[in-house]
Amino acid sequence: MNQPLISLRDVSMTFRKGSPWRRSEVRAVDHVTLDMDEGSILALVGESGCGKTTIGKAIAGLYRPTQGQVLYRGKDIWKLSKAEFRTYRREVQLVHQDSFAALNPSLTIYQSLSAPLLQYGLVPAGKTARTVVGEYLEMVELTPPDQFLDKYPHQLSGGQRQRVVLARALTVRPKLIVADEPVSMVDVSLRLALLNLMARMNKEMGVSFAYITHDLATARYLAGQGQISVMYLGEMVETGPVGQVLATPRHPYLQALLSAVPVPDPIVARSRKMLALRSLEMPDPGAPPAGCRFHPRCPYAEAVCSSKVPTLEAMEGGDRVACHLKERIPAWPV
Amino acid sequence: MAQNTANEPILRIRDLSVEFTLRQGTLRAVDHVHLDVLPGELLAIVGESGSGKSTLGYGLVNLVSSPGQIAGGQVIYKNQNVFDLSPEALRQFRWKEVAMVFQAAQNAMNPVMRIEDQMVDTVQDHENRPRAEILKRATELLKLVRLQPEQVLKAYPHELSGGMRQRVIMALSLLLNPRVLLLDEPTTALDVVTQAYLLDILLDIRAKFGITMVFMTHDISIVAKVADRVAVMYAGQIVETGDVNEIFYRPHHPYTQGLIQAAPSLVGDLSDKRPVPGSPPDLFHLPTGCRFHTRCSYATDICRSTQPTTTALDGHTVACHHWEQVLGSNTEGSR
Ligand SMILES: Nc1ncnc2c1ncn2[C@@H]1O[C@H](COP(=O)(O)OP(=O)(O)OP(=O)(O)O)[C@@H](O)[C@H]1O
Ligand code: SF4
Ligand SMILES: [Mg+2]
Repeated sequence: MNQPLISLRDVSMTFRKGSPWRRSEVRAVDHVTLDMDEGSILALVGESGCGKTTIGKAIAGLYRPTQGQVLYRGKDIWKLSKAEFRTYRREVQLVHQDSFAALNPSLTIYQSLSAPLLQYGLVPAGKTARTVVGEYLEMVELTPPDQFLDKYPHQLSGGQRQRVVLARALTVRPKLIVADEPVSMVDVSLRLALLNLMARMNKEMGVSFAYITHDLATARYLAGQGQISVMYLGEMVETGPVGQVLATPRHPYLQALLSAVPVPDPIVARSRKMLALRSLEMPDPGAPPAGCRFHPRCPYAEAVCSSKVPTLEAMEGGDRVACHLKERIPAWPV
Repeated sequence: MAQNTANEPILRIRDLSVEFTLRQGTLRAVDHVHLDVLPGELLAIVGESGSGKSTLGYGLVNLVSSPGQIAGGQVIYKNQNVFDLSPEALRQFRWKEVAMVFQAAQNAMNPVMRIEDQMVDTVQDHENRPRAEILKRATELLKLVRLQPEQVLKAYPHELSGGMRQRVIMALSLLLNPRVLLLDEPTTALDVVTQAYLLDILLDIRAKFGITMVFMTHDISIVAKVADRVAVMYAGQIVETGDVNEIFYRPHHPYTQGLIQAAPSLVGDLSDKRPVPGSPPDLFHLPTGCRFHTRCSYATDICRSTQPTTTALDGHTVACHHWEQVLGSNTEGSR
């Protein structure tokens, strides 16, 4: 097999919280391992506080894990030479949900996009930076570019701003874009077009995407042929090909999550049954339950679940599940 | 489920407009809205950010505050125009007749007051009732929203999770037995699982008390789950209303059709998903004619020059010059 583009090897990330005299530790990510091949799409899915953003930042080199390794093309990113680290930083770009915060409000679109081009010397001989920026705007369907080059961020809609942010990420010819909830702040009618744009960047330019989201429906849409990893309280509970994982979810948490997602079809929506959990409340991530972290809410939990931590194990068909009872969990929907 | 349309509306919104006077000029956030709310129904008002859902909600209970103002129209409740009520009558109307759970209401709770005291205060502001009686009712309602009353009543807001606070607010809004509950994005800040439970609880409450609900949301998938009837809002106007199945399976307005086609889903084929082109308009620079024409694939010259009027059909209304063509385009046999 080819070498993965990015690998996490047993990555954990602990944050210190509170004041000096009342320290507490939160383990935001616990022993996560994953691989992403060049050109692939991975959806990293979970509810707020599950650690997905922390993983995204670890992939992008913004956090240094407290344990484990992040490998870029097989090399530990924290042991790269200066020049290698610079290349890695250019090739792995992060796009997050708040396009407003991502752009300097006092710079025009042209100024924001030409800066990285000039910084990395990516303007080909015989072209002006303005022409090149214009080409990137066309790629993200902001046409004609002349209408956008001299505008300021506040003069654009949320969807247009997120396109500018994607165009800026493209200017440095990335191999991987970590997109953290890129459509969640965008108007609903504009989300699909942005997802389509990312799918095109993947297909036509070979850019890989780590798509981080709480929204399983958009994950299915964007990463349809790719992989999905589902997180709960810092741990990966299920991972595999999107189609299979979503069609035959095995982990009770994923079953509950899937059963809770509303679907835009009244007849289907009203016929779907929710998998009832034993508790509605998400435990405090600072004091996660022992054993399987999901056990206090899990309708199937048995004694072993509260004492022993389950690890991800391969099932038939290629997905991996972290649940002691995985062979016995009834299929959902029933 | 679907209500008898012969029922007398419980709330009638007539030609309601709400404007904001800002430095850049005057902006009409709600424009000539005409809408009936039927007793016992769950009416969803769906639209994108800035389409005017919240402003319409504030208008309904005469709570629009500066720089906003009611620019015209009426809201009729029990044969009275809400805008003509005396301050005292309005105060009673607001909790006892029509209660509201507003967007981000969870942040509006008094942080230094225990939940039980907020419950008692809310009721005693309107009715002279003994504390014990109020707490008894509060206990029942907290159970109904699946909270543990003993624990929650003694708590301060910050000791509760977002999902718990939102359920407390819901219990609070029901304390005075209102006939109508306005819910503005009540689940938007919540996790998927919590949201699903909250929607379930809402449907329970409705089944139990027969309370009328007006539910404002940007999420068409939530509408599919909970609504009896739907009003679609675009740029301050209601462009279509109808029963939920009509709206989803036989949309008459291009925007409604677009919203549904653009909604990613966990079920079904994704290959017929289509984005809605363009962006919602800036209310200061509205397109001429139909406000949707810049994004509409059905648009013709008349759309660019003339605002469509609202056509009333059997149990359905639509404001589009070409609604018949839109209706005809819905795939045959798609239920
Ligand atoms: N207090 C205010 N001052 C100025 N403009 C306002 C105010 N409240 C609302 N508006 C404007 O009125 C229009 C409608 O806003 P409104 O909040 O009613 O929309 P909404 O549909 O509820 O949106 P969202 O989905 O974001 O909650 C917007 O253009 C908004 O900017
Ligand atoms: S009136 Fe014309 S532009 Fe407006 S929605 Fe109908 S067809 Fe489209
Ligand atoms: Mg609102």
